[in-house]
Amino acid sequence: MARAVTTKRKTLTTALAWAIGLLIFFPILWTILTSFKTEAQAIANPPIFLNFDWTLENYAIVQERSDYMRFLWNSVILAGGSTLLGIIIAVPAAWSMAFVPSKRTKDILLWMLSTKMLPAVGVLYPIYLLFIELGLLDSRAGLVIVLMLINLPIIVWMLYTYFREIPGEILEAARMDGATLKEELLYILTPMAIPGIASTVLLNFILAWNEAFWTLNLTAVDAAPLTAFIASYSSPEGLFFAKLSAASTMAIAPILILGWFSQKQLVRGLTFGAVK
Amino acid sequence: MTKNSVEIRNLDLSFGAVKVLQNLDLDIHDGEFLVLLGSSGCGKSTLLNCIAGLLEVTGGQIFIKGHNVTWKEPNERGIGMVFQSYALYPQMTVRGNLSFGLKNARMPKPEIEERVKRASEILQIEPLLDRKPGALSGGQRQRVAIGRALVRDVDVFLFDEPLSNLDAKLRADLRVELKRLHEQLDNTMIYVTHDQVEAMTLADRIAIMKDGKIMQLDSPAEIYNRPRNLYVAGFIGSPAMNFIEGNIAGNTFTSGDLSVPVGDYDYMSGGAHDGAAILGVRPEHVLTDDMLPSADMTAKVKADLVEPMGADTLVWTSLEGHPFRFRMDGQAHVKSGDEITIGFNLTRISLFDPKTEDRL
Amino acid sequence: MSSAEHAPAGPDKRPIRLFRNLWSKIAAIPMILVSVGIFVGGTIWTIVYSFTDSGLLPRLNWVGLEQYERLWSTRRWLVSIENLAVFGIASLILTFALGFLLAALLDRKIRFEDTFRTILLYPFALSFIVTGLVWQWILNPEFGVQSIVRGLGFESFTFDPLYDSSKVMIGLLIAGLWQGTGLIMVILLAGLRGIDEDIWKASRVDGIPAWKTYVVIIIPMLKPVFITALVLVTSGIVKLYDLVVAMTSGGPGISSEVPAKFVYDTLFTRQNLGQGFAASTMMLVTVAIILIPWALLQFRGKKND
Repeated sequence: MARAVTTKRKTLTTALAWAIGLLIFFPILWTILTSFKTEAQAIANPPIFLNFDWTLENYAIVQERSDYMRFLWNSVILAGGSTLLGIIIAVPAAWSMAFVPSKRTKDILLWMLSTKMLPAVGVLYPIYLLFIELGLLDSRAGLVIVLMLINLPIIVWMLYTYFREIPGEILEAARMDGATLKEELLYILTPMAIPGIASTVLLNFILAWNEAFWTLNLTAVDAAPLTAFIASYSSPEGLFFAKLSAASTMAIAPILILGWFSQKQLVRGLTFGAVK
Repeated sequence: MTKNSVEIRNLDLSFGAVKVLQNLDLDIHDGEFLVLLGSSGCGKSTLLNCIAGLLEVTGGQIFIKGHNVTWKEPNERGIGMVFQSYALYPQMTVRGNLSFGLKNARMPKPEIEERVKRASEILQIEPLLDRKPGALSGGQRQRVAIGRALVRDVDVFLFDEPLSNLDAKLRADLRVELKRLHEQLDNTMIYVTHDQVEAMTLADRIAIMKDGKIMQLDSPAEIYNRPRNLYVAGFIGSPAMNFIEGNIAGNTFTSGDLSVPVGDYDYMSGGAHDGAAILGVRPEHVLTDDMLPSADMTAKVKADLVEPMGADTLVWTSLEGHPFRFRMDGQAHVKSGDEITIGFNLTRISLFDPKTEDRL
Repeated sequence: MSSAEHAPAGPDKRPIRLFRNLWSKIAAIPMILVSVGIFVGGTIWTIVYSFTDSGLLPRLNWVGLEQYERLWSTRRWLVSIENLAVFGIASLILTFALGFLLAALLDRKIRFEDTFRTILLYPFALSFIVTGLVWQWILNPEFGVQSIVRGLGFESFTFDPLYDSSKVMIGLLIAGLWQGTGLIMVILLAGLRGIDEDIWKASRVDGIPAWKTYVVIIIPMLKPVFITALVLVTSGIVKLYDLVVAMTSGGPGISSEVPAKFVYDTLFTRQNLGQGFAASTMMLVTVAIILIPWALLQFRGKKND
């Protein structure tokens, strides 16, 4: 323990911490609750908390009006596709950096991470032009590539930190046992690397799912994911908060659920490996 | 004025439902070097932390120099503490580390300087005063840690396994220095360790602890020669004491073919004892070769394994079915399978009650 | 690590090692090319074109620093810079203060800490767009915080920052804090946990009060952790875009404009490419000013290892 604390203090601290937690979670909770209210009750003044008539009409309308499933599907493809592509490129690279590090390895990594700090607006236009030229505008393929590109530094970084934790002695032991390169890879390293890869996949999925800047600017109809879906509800025309809440809830539900079941990976991922 | 530096009465400490210390009593004399010895989990560090005030007791009282400090903060108890990991403040110089607590207590500058000077002289760390902990060796860091306690000008020093993080040679060197320090300062020192050698060499008295209780509180010599129970007997001494189960009847201890006259044995309660008993004798007290004539009894054993260790030779055998180890001279030519005659003296044996595990 | 000098069993083992080094170098190349190449390439392209008079479409007509001069005399740009500065500094200070307080609180071990950490991180796991919308609603005077408090009896309570041009940044700040504090807290907490428990004990024996221990001893020990957190927060601040778009669209008027949005609008809505490029280059310069000291710190630190 960091300091010896009395039980009374501990209970107090716990209560305080949980009050804060509730406060922080409240906006999300409120949104979810509101999605089940009628429009009138949603904007009731003073706001109603729990005893309202629960209804699913908002969800129905939202789905009907803007075809939630299409957006959902696009989000899944974009997030999943970019993650898959990213992993394919990043795994060999991170592997080599973790197990055969050279003097330049750390430099390369930092260099790559710093590109993540670059303001996206800086490269927006060139990429936009490129897309037009290549006919990739509003195409799922194009977006998958872009999303992969912006998250690649993180994927490589995270995989690198995970791979570094695998003790190299295992490789040597395997080699002593006469394993070939392929066997080493398949039977020894891969199982040990799976948790790390899984965490990275999860994190990247979330990041790609939330990515708004690129998805809003480079898509229109065909490839628009849930972020566009939400954005469409924020225009002045759609100031109907119950429906807005339903739309938001539908957009963030996957993340909330995924995140809950993978808390540790979520923490580790979102803090870029700083917290284990 | 009480002659005791620290008095502990009926101390209880529980973590939730787990009772770590139960109804513990302990008196520590003024100027004494007391060692709390035991294996992991026995409660020795917990006890030390209670004395320090870092842990809140569940019940009982603690007195330091006659004052009831049970509910006082650590810095109000008149103690100084040295930790296993030194715990030096990494961003400050040695001088900073030594003076931080004093500055915080609003002590006038000249006095702070005086104390720092004196402590660093005693510990020979003057040339290090402007260095940061990162630039010091392990031994130097430990000295600074001691210095931090020294400047507090207190009566009681607490040591929590201070030498455990050092390598063997450094440990031996610092052990000697600690003993010299104690002789020089004459303060009460309470020292926690799991290392027997440290305990035996440094202590005026040792408190051997197990499961939150004190098994024996005595001088090293007493603990070595007259262990109060099986646990203490088996804990001190390396290799450990040999135990043989048997029976006492008519002033003779018998176990199988072995027969030991115990009429002159110094019983604790004064009277002789009959019934099941355990005989204990230390490997180093087993007599062989030319020492045999002085033995009170002898037996023949066959060597199973011989470990030549240079100064001694350790022989592993079994006596009446019990594993038995003894020491022979390093030059002895013994090999596995040899038949050896051994013996021991009554003055060197210990008898224990198998049920209570206490000394007879 | 793995490239130990084990005597190979026979000649056929050695090529594998050599081959492996080569293979891994090849593996690293696409990744490097792709991420660095595209981003650096694109950025350079933008910088180059910022010196032209591109209007609707890019064209290589050099006009020197003219775009920059115009930029810096555009009120909208100046407002956006000012907003970002205010938001940035306030955000930085408050995120760290709150994050650290929460971390110090949690460090004393509370129950179900994992769940708590997840809840605090949820905001960060949500896209800015959602955050913006949700908070826009909470801060709505008609049925958000203001109406609740008024309902409780404080008739004259006013809290509608999003409609007040002098206070709109506060609304954005609150939403931004909600999102980012959890992350900082988690990072700082991990740092706190890494501190040797004996340091705490030593300071207690020395009689140092808790707050002083934190300030004088613990925080300096957390320097590397703070730096990591700092980099994360600042990079997030500079890129501020989604939140503004979702919450205020830059309004009321232009009182909550931020550079990223300015660039976007200039490029696409106002179709003044040259200006847009100039503005984004300025943003780049800002990021560089922050990044270069950090990079130097890292590189110099490595050389000392």
